[in-house]
Amino acid sequence: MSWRPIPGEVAVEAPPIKPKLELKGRISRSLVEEISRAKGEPEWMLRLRLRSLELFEKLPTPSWLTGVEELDLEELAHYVHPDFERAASWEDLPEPIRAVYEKLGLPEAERKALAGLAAQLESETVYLSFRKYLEGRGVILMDMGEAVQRYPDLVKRYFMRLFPPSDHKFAALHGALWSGGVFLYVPEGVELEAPIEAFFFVASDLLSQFEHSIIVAGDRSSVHFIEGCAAPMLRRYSFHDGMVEVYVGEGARAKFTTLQNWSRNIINFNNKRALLERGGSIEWVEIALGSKVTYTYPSVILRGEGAKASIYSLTFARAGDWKDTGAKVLHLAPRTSSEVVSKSVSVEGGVSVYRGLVRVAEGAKGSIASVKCESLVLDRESRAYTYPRNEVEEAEATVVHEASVGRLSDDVLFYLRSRGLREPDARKLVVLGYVGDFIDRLKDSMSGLFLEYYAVLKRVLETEFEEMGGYG
Amino acid sequence: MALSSIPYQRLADSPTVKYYTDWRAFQPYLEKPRQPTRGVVDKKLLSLLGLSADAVLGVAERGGVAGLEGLEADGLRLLELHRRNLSLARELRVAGEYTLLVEKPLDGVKSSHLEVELLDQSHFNLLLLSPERAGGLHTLTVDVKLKPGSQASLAVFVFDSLQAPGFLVLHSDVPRGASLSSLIVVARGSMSHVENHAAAGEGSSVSVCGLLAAGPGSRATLVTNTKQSEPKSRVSVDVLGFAASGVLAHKGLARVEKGAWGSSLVVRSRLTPLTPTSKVYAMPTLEVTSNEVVEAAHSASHAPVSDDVLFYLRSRGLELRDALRLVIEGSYLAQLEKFPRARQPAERLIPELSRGLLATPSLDA
Repeated sequence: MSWRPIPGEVAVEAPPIKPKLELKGRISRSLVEEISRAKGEPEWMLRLRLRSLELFEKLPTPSWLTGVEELDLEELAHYVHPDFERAASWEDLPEPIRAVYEKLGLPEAERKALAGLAAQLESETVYLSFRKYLEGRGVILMDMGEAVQRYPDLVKRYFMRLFPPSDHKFAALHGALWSGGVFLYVPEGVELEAPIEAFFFVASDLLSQFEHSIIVAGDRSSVHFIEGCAAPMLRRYSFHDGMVEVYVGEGARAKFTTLQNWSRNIINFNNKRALLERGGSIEWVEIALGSKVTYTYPSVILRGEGAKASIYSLTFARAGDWKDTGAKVLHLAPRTSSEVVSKSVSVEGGVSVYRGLVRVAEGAKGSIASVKCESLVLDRESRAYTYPRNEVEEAEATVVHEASVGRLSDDVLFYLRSRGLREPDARKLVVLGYVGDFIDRLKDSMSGLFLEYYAVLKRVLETEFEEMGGYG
Repeated sequence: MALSSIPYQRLADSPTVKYYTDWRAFQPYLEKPRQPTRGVVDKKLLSLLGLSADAVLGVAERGGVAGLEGLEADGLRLLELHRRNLSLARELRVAGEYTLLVEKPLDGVKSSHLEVELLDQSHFNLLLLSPERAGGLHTLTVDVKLKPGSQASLAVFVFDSLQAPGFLVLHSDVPRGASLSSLIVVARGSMSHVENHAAAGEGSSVSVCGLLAAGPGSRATLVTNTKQSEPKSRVSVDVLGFAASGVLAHKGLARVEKGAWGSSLVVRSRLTPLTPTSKVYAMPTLEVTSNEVVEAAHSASHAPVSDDVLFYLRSRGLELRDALRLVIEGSYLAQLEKFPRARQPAERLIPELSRGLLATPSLDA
């Protein structure tokens, strides 16, 4: 099998991008107005952008951020529109661009496993296609910019309502400069049999990418959304500050899988939040393999009675990496439940951080939350930090948190070596065992055609972690 | 620099440093610091403990602060207030068993500092037993030192005022081969902020147990920070608390630095809200900076008292409050096994802890 669902920096080279429009430099009112004008937006969206800009200027930069010293927003291109039109068929893309996506395996993945696929290059969606029969069932899959124009009232009900620009400085920056991303609307009672994927590619250095995706799963619907990210190794660095808002209706089921494999000079901020109504459920899988710096904490608000969330994250920190990930769950209604499982591996001086919050509000009777964090530190130079917070304001709720930081057990290594394995092979085996249950868990969340996708993903992850284990 | 321009806590916008302490409770003492008036203690509690004080840290006493001008304030507002207001410092050398009673001012602010050296096999009781209605603030810092290879224990009992906050910071330096067991009981107070910082040396053992109770009108924060940077040390932190219409927070940072090979640490936090208006917060954090540690783990749990347990006890004829009392007191008592020298006074206090918790009418709801 030739295609790789989570291509790394080694898999592709940067395609030549000739911009139709490039806006760079100081973040100002005129820059924001220019982006809005270029995208032909309605007045309400321009107002939202300008309000976000005001907030960005007022809000302080969080003083606890680490590893972002080189980030200079003024030297970045904030909007790059490639010099060709969006295509609905791979043949309509310029040859060098199509070659990149073929190397990434996207056309084959789409053909074999997906119900729809959107591919974003720099600031705009350059390819979008989905199964025709879904349109007949009322499903909307659209570039976000286009959705703002074609369904303004619908988009306005959801856009930055769950993750307002006032949340923090970089949410405000996102609100001012967003471009790209997808709007996926699944009407009540519609179940999507195959996943929808959005793939984000950064081809240039000194670029900022601010895609905004909204997934609306109507009552009793079901949807699986996959987010993939990749970039070639860049000469300097680029900045990603995306946002995802997921609305899960009553009794609806949503799965959200992120396969983040940015090249190792991307500074990656991600803002992700889901709101669940009565009986709704979400399964969030976050795999952070790439990037130099990552700050991402998928958050779930369990607003309806009986709503349920599972968040699984797997993080991988190498030399010079700062991977700050975690999860937040707010239990606001009775009998809600959540499970957070976080695993990380640090090697060659990499730093893995888990930051989490479980909040059970008064009245969320009978709610149950469980958090499990495991960190594996492979050498003397690497680090693992765990910062959980449990806030329990309801007497009839159960919250359990456990965390451990471990090393490769000398006893286990000795045992494996006594069976004839060389030290690097023994280390590989132990690391693979450590992440094995997580990889198996992925299988449970994938079915049907998508099992083929899983098989390749499993192989890629196993290769990555075998390499890690073999270090030292 | 004006106190108001110094933060109460570092990096106030970081989600990882939130203390859940209601700093506003301290604000009146900073804005208009007054001289402390008469010192008081809760004599009923003292007699309940069955301990006789070897010395009293009195509000009216002054002196001994020469040379402490450079006391570390760490850039934080309450410590800076403490540093500026410091009027009493004492040095203690404890052999055998020693009990110090700390007075609470009826009004105003008193700041004191203790340097305590615990000799081998010694035990130190620190009692902060304020009457419920005292209105002053006593800020107290305590530096505890041990000799290499020695074993000692420490018991701190904090029953603070329901009208005024309290602020206590303990620093322990546990050197090579030494062992220190600390029992910290925080049972009453409108806003009790207690910090215990311990640094573990090579081959040393640090054991901290916090017993917390927050009845109606009470709010307590316990900070248990430990640091290990030398080989083969062992750290264990256990915090158990119940809140009944009160607020409890435990923030426990356990840090293992490079060089602490063969070390282990475990932090456990178990806080139980008993009534709908109770709030409990836990942040048992880990910072591990190399792969040399043998074991580094923490856990936190918050769960209602098991229905099965309550049903069993009630089926034996116990009223709800009596059943809860048994569960609460049993849970506290189970923690005392590692503290033989503090066990007796602590056992006497435990009924008082449960009495304060079960006094809330919302248990009947």
